[in-house]
Formats: sequence, structure tokens, C-alpha cells
Amino acid sequence: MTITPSPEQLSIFRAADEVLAREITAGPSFTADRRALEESTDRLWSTCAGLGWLGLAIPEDLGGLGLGAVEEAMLFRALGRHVAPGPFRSSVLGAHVAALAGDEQLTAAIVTGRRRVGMLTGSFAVDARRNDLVLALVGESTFLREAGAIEHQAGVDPLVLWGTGAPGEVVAHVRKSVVIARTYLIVAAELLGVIEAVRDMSAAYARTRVQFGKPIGAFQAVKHRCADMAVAAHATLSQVLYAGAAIDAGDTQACFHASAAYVLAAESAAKSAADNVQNHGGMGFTWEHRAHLYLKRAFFLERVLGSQRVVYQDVLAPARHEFG
Amino acid sequence: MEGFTIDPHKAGATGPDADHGRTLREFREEARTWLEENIPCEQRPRTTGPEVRDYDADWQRRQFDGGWAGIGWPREYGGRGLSPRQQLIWYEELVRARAPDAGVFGVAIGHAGPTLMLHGSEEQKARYLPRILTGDTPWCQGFSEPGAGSDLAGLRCRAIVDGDMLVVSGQKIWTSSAQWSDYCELLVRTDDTGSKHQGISWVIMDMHSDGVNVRPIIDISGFPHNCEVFFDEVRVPLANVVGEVNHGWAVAMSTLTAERGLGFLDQRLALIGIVDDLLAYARQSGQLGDDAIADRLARARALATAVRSMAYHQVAAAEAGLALGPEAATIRTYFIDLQTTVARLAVDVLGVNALGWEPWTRYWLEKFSGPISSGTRDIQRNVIGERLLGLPR
Repeated sequence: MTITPSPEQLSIFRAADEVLAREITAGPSFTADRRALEESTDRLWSTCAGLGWLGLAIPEDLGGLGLGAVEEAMLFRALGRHVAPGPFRSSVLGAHVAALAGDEQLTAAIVTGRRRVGMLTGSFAVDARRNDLVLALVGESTFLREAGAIEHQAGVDPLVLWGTGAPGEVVAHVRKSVVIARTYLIVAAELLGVIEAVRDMSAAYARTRVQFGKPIGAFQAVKHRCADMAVAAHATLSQVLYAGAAIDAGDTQACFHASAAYVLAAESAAKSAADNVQNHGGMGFTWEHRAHLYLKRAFFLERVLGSQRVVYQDVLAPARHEFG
Repeated sequence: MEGFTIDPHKAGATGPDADHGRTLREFREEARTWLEENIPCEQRPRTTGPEVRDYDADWQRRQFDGGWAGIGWPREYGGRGLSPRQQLIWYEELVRARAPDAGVFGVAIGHAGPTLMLHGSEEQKARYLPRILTGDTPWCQGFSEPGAGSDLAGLRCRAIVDGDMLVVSGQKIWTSSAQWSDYCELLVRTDDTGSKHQGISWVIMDMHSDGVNVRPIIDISGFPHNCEVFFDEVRVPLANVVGEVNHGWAVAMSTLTAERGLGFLDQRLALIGIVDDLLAYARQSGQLGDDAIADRLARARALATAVRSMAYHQVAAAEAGLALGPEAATIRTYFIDLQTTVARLAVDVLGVNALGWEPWTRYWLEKFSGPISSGTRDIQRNVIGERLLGLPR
């Protein structure tokens, strides 16, 4: 039973957290300006690809680090915590698709960061540029396609490159069932990072912001919203770790546990990020404050794979819980 | 929840026995087989008489005789002396078998016993502990009073030292199963000159003593789950004080810690079985075709799954010798909120049938006690905010 992360797994979270704190949170602020976003994303991308982040759980003989889904989840927990821009989730998943499809060259190209993989959501292209690849989950299949020409436009998440496109040829495909658990897990882990970040942000503000002569965290209405975030973070972390362990073990219920992690994470992050705006009062309503980035990222991740109702099908699939 | 671990595995499953091969798997198999052959066929009676205690005592005794009582309790008190992981496996199998819970023995097994093991004298341990797992002596918890609910330390039930006896006078309320209990873990005020946390004593009260008067309270589900208990100059040997006289607050805190520990994990895990049963009912009745119901069932099931993951975390912590501290309040808060959600979902799945006096209808009503008992949901959130997040009082 590997449900608490090992020191090595935790060190991946800490190391990634440190890099991202330096590169993003303490770095120049990201704006809605697409050119500036692309430039800062490029810098971040080469740093992170150089650290091996894109192939953490890809087998070593395919150029990855050969670690597990739990390690991968710890990386995405850190990416979510810093609302990282860049096609991380789709590229990591794309590397898995290429590896599972047996395309060594393509896998290597993605793992080294040379070929970025965006994602298709409905008719929209996410984090994709011309000459990139896009990942598409369609029916029972998962495809990697050439991105083709993309028309960029503003999206709800200012740190996501958003647009419409007409994707080109298919370069690899696998059955959806072999990657869906990992897909749920990665998105759930990012949402976990969002929950933990807003929990810490709200608690820090509630400890120091004074009204009526005392820190607002002394008032139960504020304190309890913060407490709810801590509850959500604890539950989501537990379920993310469990789902990661299930994937690594080849557990037949891995998809079920990962889908549960995603549903729990999406719901918890939406509520926590909204409460975080409320806790910060007027400041939380400004573009300048980071609270809206978490709100929008949580909203984005809740539907980036389509309707939650599709995920519910995987949650409802087993007739009963299996023990042992 | 960071800083400790359990060894990795690659075994094709993720349960607590996944990486330990035969021993734990065999333990689970034995538990499963035994439960299939031994769980009671009848439902627990919802009456007011001694048959309620008899039912729970029979079930407890059967587990004891079968060697399945007190998995984590020391052998000298009738337990198996096994690991938290085996305790968890047993609880999972109880859920799988839809076995009855400990009923009126919940307090004795879940916290009176553990409190005595930590703070009791050798004489107290030898006298009281061996009769718990056998199903002989149910206990109740005499903590709350009309004037001391969330503010427990404000309790006023008084005990005066008279030679080698204590004389107890006062009232307790919300005492679960008092009408069926032989003993009570009673908090009394033995000194009112200091601060309110000082001068409290933790006393073993024999519920059959002269001057003890129990009055059951019918709750909104129609069941006399709780009682008022009146003490009129009840004489208790001083030897029944657990820990030192006037230093009972620390003992009481151990009791509450035990209550949030592994002892009641079975009740939390049971929620998984309840959601599964609701889902099966909705499938069979066609209700699952209603998107609104299906959505809520999916949510509830996803959330219930995390109860188990949190339990695994708690067990891993216990095996590493770590107590959870305020994180235990997060686990309880999560569970109680989910239980409330599930209880309401249950009556909605039932549809118009829920207007009758159905088991799910009573379940919905009964679970209104969740956010009130054992520290209200508001108190739990205060604990989380203050002790986990460092927010000011």
C-alpha cells in the first residue's frame, strides 16, 4: 500500500515547486498579451524540458526517467500550484501516447521538448501553435495529430494559449483506455495544486488582514472557508496518491480511482478558488491579484476533457468497490 | 501528511495487503470467509428494550469467539495484537459483508478501552478491559451537559471527596446508549477554584449504582439513541478515578483522540457500502436514468472513495507511529459533510417512497446528528483553522 508519498516522490514535488516559484510566481508577471505569454512560456519550457519533466514516467529506454504515475502527479501538483503556462499536461500525455504506440523517435522528440503537444477540446486548440502536435481524445481512441494552422484568440484562462484550428494528419494513436486513467490523474493533480495554493493564500491573508481590530481569520465565516479548503486539500491529496499508486500497480480499478480523484479535485478546486476570491475582498476581484488565475485555471481544468458527466461514467462503472 | 512512507510495490492491486504477499492476503481471505458464514441474518432491532443490547452483545461475542474481536487490541485484553493494516483489512471486510457495527459497544471498544490502556492503573486495566471485547460490558460517554456542549470544559457535574469515596451529583445529556450500558466514562468537576480546564476528573461510573437515573431521549428518527443521566449523591470509590484527581482534562483529550483515531474507521468506511447500495438500488429501479440522480450518485461515489484513501493515509501514519493531530478533524469534517450529502441523496433516490417510514428515511433523519455530535461541524472547522492553518482564535 503506497498511499503516502516516499521521500523521493516528495522531493520531485519540492524540486518542481522551487523551480516554478522562481520562474513563475517570483518572476515577471504574466499578462494577457499573447506574445509576452509565448515568450515567457518558451523560457519556462526549455528550463523544464532540460530537467527531464516531460518524460518523468516514460521508460528509460525511450529517453524518460522511468518513474511512476505518483511522481508524475507530484510534478503536476507543483505545476497547478503555480498556474504554470505551457503545454505540460498535453505534452506529457502525448509522450505516453507516442511511447505506447511504439514510436521511439516521436517519443524522444516530445520528451526532449523539441515537439510540443497541445490539446484539442471540442473544436478548440489548447496550448498549441502551428507546427506543434495536438492530443485528441475522441470516442474510444486517443490521437496525436499535426496541429495545422491555428487561429489564436482570447480564452478564459489568460495563461492558456487558446484558439481554433483545423488539425492535420494523425501521427500516432492508441486506445483511449490505456491513457485515460493517467489523463484523469494528471488533471486531478494540477487541481490539487490549485487547492493547496489558494488554501495557503487565503490562510496567509486571513492571518494578517485586520478589520474590526483583529485579523479576519478570527471570524468564523472566514476561518471556516479556509478550513474547508484544508479539508478539500487533504481528501484530494489522499485520492490522487491512491489513484497514482493504483496506476503504477496495474490495478484493475485504476481508472475508477483516477476518475474519482478528478471529480473530487474539480469540485473542490472550483469551490476553493471561488472562496479564495471572496476571502480577499476587493483585492481578490482585481486583475492584478493572482486569485483570478486560480479561479480560471480551476474552471478550465474542470472542463478541458469535456463535460464532467463523461467522467461520471467511469466513476459509476464498477458495480461495487473492490477490497483487497 | 508528509514525511513517512510505506514500501513500494508492483503487485497488480493497491489495497493494504498488496505488497505483503501471502500473510495479509490470507488474513483477508480468512476474514472474508468467516464473515460470510457468521454475520447475523436479522437486522438490529429498533426498539427500546434490552433486546437491543442483546443483539449487539451476541454479535460482539460471536466475533470474540471466532477470534475477530479487537484486531489491534493487546492479547492480554482479549485482542489479537495485530497491526493497524490488519485492522483496516478487517474493517474493509466488515463493509464488504455489510456487517452490523459495534452498536452499544462502540464507546467501550472505540474509546473507553483505549483511554484505560493509556491512563488506567494496572488494577483498572485488569478489571475492566477483559470484559469489553467479550461483549459483556457496554460503556457510555458522560461528557456533555446541558450547560457544557461545545464548551466541554465548562462542565459542572460535581464530585466531592468523602474519605476514599467520591460523591457525584449533577446531570449529563446526549449520553448515547446509557440505558444499555454497565459503565460510564464520566467527567466530573472535583475542584472549581482554578481555571475551567483544571479540577476535572475522569471517573469510571458503575451505571447500576444507587442514585443513577437514566432517561432516554427519542431523537428525530424515532430512536432513543441518547439519554439524560441524573446523578443524585452517587458514591464511587476514589479508586475509579482514571489518571489523577483534578487532572482529567488530559485524559479526556486522549478519549477524544481515540474517537478520531482508527477505532471508528469502520463507521467511516461503511459510507462506501452505503453509496454502493444506493447505486445498485438506483440501477435496479431505473432511477439511474435520471441524469440529476446519476450526477449526484457519481459525485457521492467519487467522494466516498476518498474516505478510503484518507483511511489508508491514517493507517500509514499509525504504522509510522505518528498521531494525526488536527488532521483528524479534517477527516471527520469531510466524512460528516459527505454523510449528510449521502443521507439526503438516499431519500431522493427513494422518491415518493421516502414519505413512508422507510429505513432510508430514518437514515436521513438519524444522520442529522453527525454535524452535532462529537464536536459540532463549526467546532471542527475552528480546530482546523486554528491548529492546522494557524488562524487566530
